[in-house]
Amino acid sequence: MTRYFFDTRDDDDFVEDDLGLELPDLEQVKVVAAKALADMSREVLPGSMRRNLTVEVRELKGPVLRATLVFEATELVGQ
Amino acid sequence: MTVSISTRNTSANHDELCSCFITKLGAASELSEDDKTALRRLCADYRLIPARRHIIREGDNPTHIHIILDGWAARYKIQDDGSRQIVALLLPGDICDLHSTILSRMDHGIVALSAARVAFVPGIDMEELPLGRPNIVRALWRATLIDESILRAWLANIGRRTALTRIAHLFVELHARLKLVGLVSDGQFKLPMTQEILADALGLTAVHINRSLKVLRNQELVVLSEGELTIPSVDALRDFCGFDGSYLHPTQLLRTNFPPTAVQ
Repeated sequence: MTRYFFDTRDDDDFVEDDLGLELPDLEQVKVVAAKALADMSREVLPGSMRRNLTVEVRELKGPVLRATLVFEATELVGQ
Repeated sequence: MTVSISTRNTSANHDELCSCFITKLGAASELSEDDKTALRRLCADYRLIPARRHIIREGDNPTHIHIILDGWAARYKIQDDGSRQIVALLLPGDICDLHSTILSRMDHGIVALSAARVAFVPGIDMEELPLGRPNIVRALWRATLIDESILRAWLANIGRRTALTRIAHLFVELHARLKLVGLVSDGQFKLPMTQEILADALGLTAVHINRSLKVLRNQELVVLSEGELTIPSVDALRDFCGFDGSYLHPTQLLRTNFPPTAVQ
């Protein structure tokens, strides 16, 4: 088990993870990163037209993963 | 392997240990002193369960009813992929499995979240207790029904609220439940839940719990430190998540109470 830190970014709003999570391997890190993005999107996408959500994962030795969700809504009425 | 300490103890310490249980059951039912003595006697055999130890597992056919005298526990279910959903939190005074005299198989597991003292009540004692004690019957029934209404509130919370209000709602609920049994002081109470446990209880990732707690802290709605949660203004937190506490059925003495029972 390694402690991984999941920093999150909602457009310009960056939040550092001060606690971290113990996970067995990179595969689990990817699963958690994806689920975390899903949680974030549920919270902030309603009401948005464009949004960039990112999870940056690091451990003591350095960064291990960046996962980004790009949301873009386009109104089509009248086209 | 022995992990528990079994003890028969009828001293003042034992009365103190049972106080949350008695307070909770007696909150809206008139329990006579004799009723209360019978309830305390029910909890004579209690054991210390360390944090993270199972009290009971899914699939078990329990021979005892378990009552949380102090500490916290959680009802949970595990999915095939190993992920866990906590479906209820059991606080001091809560009965874990009253139904096990009727439904033989546990459909969920119960794990201690903190070190907990748990009464192990033989099924037969539980079946005999209510005989001739209608106020105890009502009190037990009421406790079960409120557990159900809490479950409905949790379902709505997890199904439809977004993270910030979902967390806030849980905190306000815990505050109310703990206040009832005298475990809140100045908006502060022990919260033996890591962010991962909160995540399991709220159907969110620990990552998002971490982020959301920071937001709640920055807005000065909660203070979390060293396993203690402080709510500076419960009204503010209540408004924040639109908390309607009627599902907890706050104390009101029932209109049709039976008179306290005489010794049988």
